[in-house]
Amino acid sequence: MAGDLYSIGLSGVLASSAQIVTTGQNTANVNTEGYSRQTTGLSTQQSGGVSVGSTRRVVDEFVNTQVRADTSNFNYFDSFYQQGSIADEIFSDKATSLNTYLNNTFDSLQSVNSDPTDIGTRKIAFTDLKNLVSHFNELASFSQDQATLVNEQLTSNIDIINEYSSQIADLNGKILVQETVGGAKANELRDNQEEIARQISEYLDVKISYDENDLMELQLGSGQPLVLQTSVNKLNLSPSEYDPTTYDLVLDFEDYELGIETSDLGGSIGGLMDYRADFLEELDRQLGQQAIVISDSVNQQNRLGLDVNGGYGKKIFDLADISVNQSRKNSSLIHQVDVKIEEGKASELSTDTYELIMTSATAFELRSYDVSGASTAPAQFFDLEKMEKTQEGFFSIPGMGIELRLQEDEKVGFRPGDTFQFSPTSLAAANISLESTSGEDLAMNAPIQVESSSDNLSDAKIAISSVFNTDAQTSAFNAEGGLYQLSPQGIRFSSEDSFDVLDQDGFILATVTGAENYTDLLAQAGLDEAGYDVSLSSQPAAGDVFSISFNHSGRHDNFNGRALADLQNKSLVEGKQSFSDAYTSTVARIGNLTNTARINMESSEVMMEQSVARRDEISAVSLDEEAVNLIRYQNSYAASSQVISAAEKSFQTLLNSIR
Amino acid sequence: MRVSNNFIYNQSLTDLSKSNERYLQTQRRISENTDIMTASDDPVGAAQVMRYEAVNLLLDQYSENAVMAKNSLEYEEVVLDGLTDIFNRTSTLLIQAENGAYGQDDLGAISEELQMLTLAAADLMNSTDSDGNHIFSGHESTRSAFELKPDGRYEFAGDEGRKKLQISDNVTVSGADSGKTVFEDVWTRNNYTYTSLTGEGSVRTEVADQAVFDDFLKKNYSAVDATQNMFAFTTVAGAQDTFSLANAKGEIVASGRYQSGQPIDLFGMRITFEGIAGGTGIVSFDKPERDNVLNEMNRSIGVLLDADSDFYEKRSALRDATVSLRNTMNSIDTARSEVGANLNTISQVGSYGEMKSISNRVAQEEIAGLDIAEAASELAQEEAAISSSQKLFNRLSNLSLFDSM
Repeated sequence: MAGDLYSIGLSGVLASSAQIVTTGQNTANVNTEGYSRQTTGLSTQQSGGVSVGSTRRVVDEFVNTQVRADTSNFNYFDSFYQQGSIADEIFSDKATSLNTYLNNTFDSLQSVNSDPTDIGTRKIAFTDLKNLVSHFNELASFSQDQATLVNEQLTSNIDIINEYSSQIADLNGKILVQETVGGAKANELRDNQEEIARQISEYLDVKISYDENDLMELQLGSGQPLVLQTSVNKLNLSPSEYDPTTYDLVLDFEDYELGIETSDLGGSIGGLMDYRADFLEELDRQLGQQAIVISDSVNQQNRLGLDVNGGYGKKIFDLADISVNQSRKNSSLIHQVDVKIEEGKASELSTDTYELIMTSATAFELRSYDVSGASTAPAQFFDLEKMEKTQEGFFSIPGMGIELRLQEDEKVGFRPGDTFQFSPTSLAAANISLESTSGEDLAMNAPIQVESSSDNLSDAKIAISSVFNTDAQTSAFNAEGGLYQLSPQGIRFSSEDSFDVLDQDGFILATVTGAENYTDLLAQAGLDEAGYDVSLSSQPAAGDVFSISFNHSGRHDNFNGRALADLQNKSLVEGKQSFSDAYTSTVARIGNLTNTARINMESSEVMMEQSVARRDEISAVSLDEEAVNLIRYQNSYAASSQVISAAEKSFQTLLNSIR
Repeated sequence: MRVSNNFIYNQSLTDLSKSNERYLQTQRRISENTDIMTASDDPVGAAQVMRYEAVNLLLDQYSENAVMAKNSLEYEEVVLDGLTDIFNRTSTLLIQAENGAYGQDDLGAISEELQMLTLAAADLMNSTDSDGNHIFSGHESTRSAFELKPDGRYEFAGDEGRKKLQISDNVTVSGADSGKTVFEDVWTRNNYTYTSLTGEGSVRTEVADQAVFDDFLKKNYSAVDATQNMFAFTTVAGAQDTFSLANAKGEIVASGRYQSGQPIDLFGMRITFEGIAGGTGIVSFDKPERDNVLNEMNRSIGVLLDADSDFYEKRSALRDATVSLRNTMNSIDTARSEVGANLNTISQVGSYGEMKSISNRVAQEEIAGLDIAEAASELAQEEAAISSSQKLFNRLSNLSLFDSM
């Protein structure tokens, strides 16, 4: 009995001291990141006394999983918002607004309109054009710099994840050893491991499960394993198949690489990748689209006029070549596809990515995607042999504003499945440049001048109604600066509603009888390939003659200059928006995305804080609680030691009574 | 609920940092004096503000154009005003010169003044603006509008073009007229010629009633079919000599008694035929022509100075000049009223533009403007929140059971 009491007392003392140690452990680790409070389990022994069970951590696996999920979610929106707010600040600033530069340019064009012969105002207009171009370049370089930064951040984040993965694998090994050899749960190591897993979830959405040895298995959100027992699969960034400047995420299985879908990555890596694709890439393309439309529309309009020296207007802006990437699996890497913006059709351009897939040696399929990879239109099929080619071999794709030229590797020929990818609006804003070298190139004059004969009986005046084509091969204008002999250069009315259209020598080109109105007379005569048209201000009389001639000396005319200035009011960007509207909606989009990201960030932050609070409720140390426990276990220690001394005393009493 | 130390400190930290963040946000709004600091604060509002801004910038562009157009038009107005004064004086002199009582010397004096007035008018027609561009030359503003050729005629050397400036989205206003429209394409006096075919005698032709003759010419003249412009004049001898005037189709349009030496008035034409009846001739319209009044003036002055020209020739020349002058003055009046109309358009569009600009700015203020009173009280509120969070933290962190053990 006394022996039992000794062992009972001893067991009590041992139990209390174990609990004091645990309390001490908890108190000491109150500030340790990721520490879960430990409790020592006690159970009563059949043979008397108390036995110390295992010291286990107080964790709720489901709450921890929730914390990790909410952490990933928060960091996704947080990283998106942090990056987005930089763009938001820059584009919201009035000083960097493209609209200011656009307005300056058109304002100075209006000044040139008031006196097209003034070289001073032309110089100012040229400077404003230069500034506009360099501002496009700057805004584009902002998004490029951001993309570089994002790539760098991604690289360093991936390195961190790989480091963490190997730490987890390492810990798995240590836990296995400690638990099999030592027999007790490796609480500290597991806390460490779970904390590392939580830190990884800041970067990536990960799933955790425990295998049959109770070792941690780390998987990506889509199921691919990062850590299995002690082996690690590293994540890598590798250049994308079609665009070597962007990087895709791959999982390195040593023998092969597996590409990872970036749509549900979560965490700050998911946020950065989505930011790069949805935000930056789309921003660059929208700016590129605006640059292309401005360049094309100004160039086309300038061609329809004469510059300060009386020559046909030349190109003002220049765009770089569009780069086309091809799949490494193509039948030959010497195949070449060239893409150009179709002149005059820039309004049809969209910001999509296009994929050209050969279906046979002479036919191909054209697919279009937006930046997030969703298809934007049904695929179109084209047969090379039926397409009409220009002199240089380009053929136009109707409705898309682009021209293509396919040149196959002569030894191999196109094979079905050869794929090419291009995005015409990508990088266009960075590459727009000024081809003109001075304000003298601005073509403000109309290329023709019109005159009503002084002999006319009526007071009807002739005016130019439109000029739409000055190309030497398809219009009445010749290349040296004049009108072809057989082009409409006179109109003679034989009666009030019938007229003849005459050429340079007075021969009749066409006759119209029964004219109902006096607008667009050449169109009424079926002569609209001339490239220009005229109208009368009022009813003419029989015998009235009107003449049209090349504008050899009317340098003060601003007919074409007005058309140039009016471009700012036309809905040219994708046929729906003017230049300033397009930029405004780009800025609004940035604001919208950033605003949404911030709202999501704030709400996910609240969710994360609640999950963390719930976890802390279960697993975190409360010093007050530990203080109470300390007193309690000290008391029970004292009590148990009293039991021992009681046992000793009763033994002594027994001994004393025998003597 | 079990409260852990982590929870206590995390909570306090979150409260403090959130209070600080709100305070800093409000401070920033006040310092930038706007509710919308970045597009993300209010994407829809930011886009609206940008659109109003773009519209206002466009209105500024237009108002600059309006100023330039106004200057150009006012210049033209001044020149036309000067020309009106000159031509008024010229008109008076021409009426004076018709007085048959004046002798050659008097006519010489009048002619001299007419010559100077003509030169002054030519000068005004060739006036330039402050940049040295000729206002009436159309688009060829580096050349004079009217060049004096070696033969003494003023020829128009510009073109018909007329500059336009855009002063609003849909309104363009024209600059100065081309000299061709105002001065060159002015109708001269209509006249006719008599060509004798058969018969002997002398003929004097003149226009007795210009208005009636103009009407007759307008009804019958054809620019396409030249035969319509000719009438056969026949005198037939008989018991009573008669004459008849037949048109190209042979219809008799006028007839009556013929008496040698008696003027015959036909549709405003006065033909005085002296000779025996029985002759034929052709009365043909002179092609209606337009010419610069300067040329008509110079021609008429030449006739006045010619001592050999008779009364009728002088009167014809003066009439030519008078008609040409009157038509030019009408043309100038038309040009002046157009200038006035354009100036009115500019001022109306301008004041509408100003109103629009103001209402845009008001709208921008409403969307993005900062209510300073509201912001200041928010600032005070957040300051109080920060200081109470701090006090709370202080209290909580001092509470620990270990301290009282």
